Order: sequence, then C-alpha cells, then structure tokens
Amino acid sequence: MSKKRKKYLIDTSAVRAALGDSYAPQNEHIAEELEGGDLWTSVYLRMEYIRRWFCDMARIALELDLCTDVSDALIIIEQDFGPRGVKGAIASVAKFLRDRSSMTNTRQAAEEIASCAIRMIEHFDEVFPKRIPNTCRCQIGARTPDVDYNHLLDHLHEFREEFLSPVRDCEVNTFLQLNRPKGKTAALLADAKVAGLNVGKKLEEYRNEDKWITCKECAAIGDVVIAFEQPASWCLVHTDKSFDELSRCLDREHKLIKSVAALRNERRRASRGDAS
Amino acid sequence: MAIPNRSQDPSSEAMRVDSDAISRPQPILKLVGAPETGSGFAGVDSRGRSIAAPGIASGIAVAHHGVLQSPSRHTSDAYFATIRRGEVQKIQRQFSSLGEQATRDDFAVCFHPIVNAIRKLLDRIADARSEGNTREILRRLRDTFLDGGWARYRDASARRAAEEIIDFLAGAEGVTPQDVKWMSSLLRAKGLRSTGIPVFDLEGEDNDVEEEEEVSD
Repeated sequence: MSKKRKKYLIDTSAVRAALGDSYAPQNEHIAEELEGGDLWTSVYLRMEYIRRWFCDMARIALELDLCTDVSDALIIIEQDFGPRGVKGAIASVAKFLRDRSSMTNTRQAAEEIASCAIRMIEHFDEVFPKRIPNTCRCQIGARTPDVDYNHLLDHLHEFREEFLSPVRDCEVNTFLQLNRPKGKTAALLADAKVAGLNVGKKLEEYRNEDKWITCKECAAIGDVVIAFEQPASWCLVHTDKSFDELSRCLDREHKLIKSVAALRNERRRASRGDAS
Repeated sequence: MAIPNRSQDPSSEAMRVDSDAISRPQPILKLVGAPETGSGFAGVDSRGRSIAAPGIASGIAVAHHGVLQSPSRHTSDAYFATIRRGEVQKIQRQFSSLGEQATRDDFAVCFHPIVNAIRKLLDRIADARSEGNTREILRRLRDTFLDGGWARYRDASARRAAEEIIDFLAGAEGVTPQDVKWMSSLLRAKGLRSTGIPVFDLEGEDNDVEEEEEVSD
C-alpha cells in the first residue's frame, strides 16, 4: 500500500521560498523540509499573494509607462512607495530591465514588468495547483487577469483596480463569528497568548467595535483567517511565529521554516567559526 | 470626340505603389498636349489643385504618384506584421542551425545572435499595438534562453517546441491571446521555463514576517 503524501498548506510568509524565489539557502531549506509532501494553497492565500506582490509589480509597470525615462522613473517609483524601504527591490527591477535591454524605452520597460507580473500568477498556480476548500468565502482570491497583450497595460490596470476595490458584502464576517459570544473568535481570544499577539489585538479591536470586515480590515487579520481555514489533516508551513500560538490554540499541525535572517545569521556564525 | 485614355502609356510615369504603403496614392489628372495644340501647350496636371480641362487637350493620362512617408512613420498593423514576419524568418534560419551545434561545449554562445535578434525585433515593434501578443511570445521565448536556460535546448524536443513557435510567428497574419496561451503551454510542457521571474518584495528590505517574538506569560 502506498504511503499517503503529507499535505502542506503554505502560508504567505513561506510562499516565496516554496516558489524557489527567495534567498537560495531558504529555497533549499524549505525543499528539504517539505520533500515527499504535496504543496497546497487556498483562495485566501492566493489573494494575499496577488495583493502583496502582483499588485505592486503592476503598479511599477503602470508608473513606468507614465514616465519618459526609465532611470528617472525608478527613482520616482522608489519615492512613491514611501517609507517601505524598497531600494533593494527597485535595484532588482533595474537589473531585471537591464538584463532585457529595456532601460531605454519606458513602454517596453512597463511591458516587461507587466509580463513578469502576469507570469508570477501563472507560476504560483503551477506550483500550487491544489487548493483547500474556500471556507472563508473570499471572493477575489480565485481571480486571474484575462489579458490581451495587445492591450496589456490597460487590462493590467483594470484587473488591479477591480482587485483592490474592497468587497463590502464579504462572507468572512459570517466565517469569523465576531459577534457570537461563543463563536470561534471568542474562543481564540480567550487564549491569553493569542490575545497578546498583534493579530489578536486587532481582532479584539474589531470585535469590540463590531466592525464590518471588508478587504481592508481583513488584511490586518489574515493570519487568523488562514489559521481558521486550515483543515485538520494539513500542516501549515510558515516563517511567522504568530502561527506558533494560533496553531497550538486551534490544535493544528504547523511547521516553522527558518527565516532569511535566521539563515544569514547561521552562515555568518559558521564563517566566523571557520575563521577562528 | 472621345478623349483617348493614355493611362496605359508607359511614358505617363505611372508608378505602382505597394498596398502596404501608408499613403495611398492620389490619382492625378494630367492633360497632355497633342500635335494639334502646338508646342505652346506643355500640358497641365491636377497635382495639388483642381483644374478645368482645357478644350485643346487631346488626351488624358492618369498618373499615380504617391509620396511615401519615411519608414519610421509607418504605423499600419499590416506593416508591423510584415516587419515581424521578415525578422522572425531571420531568427528561424538562425535557430534551425542549432541542431548541428547541440553537442558543443560552448553551446550557449549560439544563442547570442538569436537573443539579440529577438531584442532588436522587440525594439522595432515596441510601439505596435497590434503586435502586443507577439511581443509577449517573444519575451517568453527569449526568457527560456537566458540564465542557463539554453542548456535545455540541447534536447531536440525542446528545439522542436521553440521552432513550432518561431514558425508560427514567421507566417501568421495576426497573433491572438489564445496563441500566447498555447505557446506558453507548449514551452511549459517541454520544461522550458521563463527564467528570472523575480518576486520583488516591496514590503520592506527584510521580507521575513517574524511578527511575534516569544509572548511572555
């Protein structure tokens, strides 16, 4: 009888490594840890991926198209992203464009980044073909841009605008049971360690205010939605320590993957150890 | 008396203009002198103006003159499709020689002219709205050659897949979004990955979400 393959639900914090797009040692580390298992996602996790990475890439593409010089455009974009400290990422964008000889024409540069953004979603869907049931009923996570590349930037803009418009009638409100005294949110927040987490505090705030959750509010409590959605026989893979408490409280299996910082520190220690 | 039509007369300076030309030729009415008009009548034509036909004209020659715009100002879909087909046919010839080179240690260098040709073609059709789907296919194909991807093309089945795509682009009138999809599927099926798709983390320099430290009791 063949052995059942382990089912891993990949949290947003571990997605880049699972895609092979992170720091090389982390990519190798996660590949080793998850060897022999199947990688799963959810509509909600896909939504987070699109919101976190695709939409920013699309924004860069659209802003490039509004500028007359690529180098100047990247400076403007870096300033536009404000205090998020995106120097490294913008440097990566510049390198990407230089490698493709697209530094002289902003329309070409915009299309290169736009094409990259679309392929990011395709790559995600290829690595994570399996999804757990969408119990939180997220309405936007399953969307995929339907693009005619003759109108690439127009279609990208349309998709991004629609995607980022908050859903006002989301069933996540029912899913979270915020206003039920004996609901699952109340049970979760009864745990002191969970209540002490940043996400716990935010959830408590929403409950006290009887907040109606749209995409905007949901973004701040994503970890809770993911933890609630995790089916019993799946193992959640993450680098986010908040899941240590959330998974414990909900009696769910989880696996903490070493973060990029932790792996870098290990290497530094190892090289200092070699030096001495 | 009917005025003879001399438009078939080779001396009437008729010029044939290719249908891809942006500027459609405007017919010009040219009135030529006849022996009976005497040497004083040099003829007259309607270029740029309308004229009344003088009664002494003996014939009408219709000459087509078109002032072609300089190539940089050509913008028709057909023009760009013609450019694309022509340039891809050159890439086709370069690519077809890869089979003989597949066992070379330095196989990678064979891709240099191909990648360059794709880059130049992307430049040339950069502003062609009707060639957006073509550009996407070219980008995806180009990216399978980069960052060590060339090694995959030592395999004949990989080369055949790329040839199928190049052959299509070399002959197609137009390229659709469905063409992008089937070509992408073909590349994926042969393990030809578009490399270098970065996931830029714009949340901050450190992408680790180590949100929580140990929570004290």
